[in-house]
Amino acid sequence: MITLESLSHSLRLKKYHREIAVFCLLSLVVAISAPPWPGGIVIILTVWGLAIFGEGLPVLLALRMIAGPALFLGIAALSLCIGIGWSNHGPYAIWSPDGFQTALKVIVRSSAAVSSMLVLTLLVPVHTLVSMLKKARIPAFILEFTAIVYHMISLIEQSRSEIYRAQTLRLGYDGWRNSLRSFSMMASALFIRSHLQALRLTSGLESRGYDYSLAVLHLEEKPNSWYAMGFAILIPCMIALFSFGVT
Amino acid sequence: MIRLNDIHYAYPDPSGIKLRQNLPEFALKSFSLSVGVAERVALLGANGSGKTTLLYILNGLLCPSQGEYYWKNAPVEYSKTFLKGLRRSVATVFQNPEDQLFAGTVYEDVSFGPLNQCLSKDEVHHATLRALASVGMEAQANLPLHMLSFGQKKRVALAGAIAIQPELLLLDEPATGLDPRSEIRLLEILEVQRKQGVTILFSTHDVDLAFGWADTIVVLFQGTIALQGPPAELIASKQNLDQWDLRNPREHQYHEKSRT
Repeated sequence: MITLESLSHSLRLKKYHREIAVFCLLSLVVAISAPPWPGGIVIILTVWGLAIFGEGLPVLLALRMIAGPALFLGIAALSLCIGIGWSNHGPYAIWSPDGFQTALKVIVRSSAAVSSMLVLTLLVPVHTLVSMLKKARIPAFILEFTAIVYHMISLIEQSRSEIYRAQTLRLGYDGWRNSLRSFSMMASALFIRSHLQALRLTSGLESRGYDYSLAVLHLEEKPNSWYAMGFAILIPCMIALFSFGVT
Repeated sequence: MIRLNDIHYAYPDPSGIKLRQNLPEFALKSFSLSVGVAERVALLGANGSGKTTLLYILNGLLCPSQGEYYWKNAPVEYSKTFLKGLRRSVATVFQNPEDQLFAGTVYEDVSFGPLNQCLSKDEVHHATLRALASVGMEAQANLPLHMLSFGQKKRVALAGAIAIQPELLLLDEPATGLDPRSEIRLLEILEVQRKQGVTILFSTHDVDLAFGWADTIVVLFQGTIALQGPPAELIASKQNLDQWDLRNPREHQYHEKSRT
């Protein structure tokens, strides 16, 4: 989480956060609603192209980000390719050509949606998203909840890395048994620490005049250029029209 | 400005841990203190002497078991309305900045306090920028909090307190974890605030810091006041410093060494 946030502040086009956010969100909508071929493929290529060639995101990092979701999708799609049933001779499992086609469509559509979300997470800071959602009149309590949960997650991640470092220096991850034991101790310590941190934060906020509202002011950011915003809206729309037109 | 009369405070102990471990019943006992406007007061004491408890009583987070707390000659009530009003004038900076920072960016966090004072957006914006400039963090206004170093987070926490333009600024061990240069910068910021009429009260176990900076030093020992007065009185009582788990200020140690 911390690495992702620092990436969004250090990449080339960091002044275009809002335009990139709009582009990724519209791409997500197109990925879910447009036919996976060719729409999904074009979305995948476009969002990752923006991230790698436009923003200068390292390719290895991009592959690491995709690896987890890709593995998950692949395993899920595999189950669509196999038909399982019961015949007079007992249970059977066969390769299903229709299932294979469905699996391909599911993989492409899901990958396009996941890619849009991943690139959004990588390239746009959370506070920019929250301020955009505020302008879209999303209820305040949802935005405040999002902001505080995000902050708590970053604190938990910080605690996790501190505990992990302390355990490693004392050979806590030396061997399978040690690792399992250390991991479970870390999990329980994190649970208690985050609870205590939440209590301390509540006291801290009370002393700052907390009145059951976490309203804050957001720094006004003007759009970098209307051209950039225009392209951010136009490209996903054109991909959608192209996909529907082809099919 | 503030007056404490015979304050006692005992932390709740439902599981009886304190009893079993033979710990003192009261965190603060028979504590009386008066602080005037624009004073610099240092609460000096070892760990567990009651410094943080006193700060929490002053900002209304804790209610004394006994005794009275007066804010501007009016007794402090522990109703929601009164405490809300108190916290418009009393700002606290905690020892661990993570105990009070929560927002997405530096700017958003500092704006939280002024927004709670029902100021207009323009006034909040200017108050936030002024506070950030006073702690030298205006360039980092748009950065997320978790990208800051410990010292930077402390400055943001201080900015959040200064932004509400308090009359009383409470700081819990503000120099802990800071390098000497950052410590000097912190004291400069506090001095600017004091010249604007803000009363400053901070807790520390650093004798040199208290001795070098404060107008009044209050030495706490096991929840009671062991000594209260100007720094010279601390030197006059130096034979007791050991007993209070403190040491001679270094400046005085060097001075004594040079005389022998």
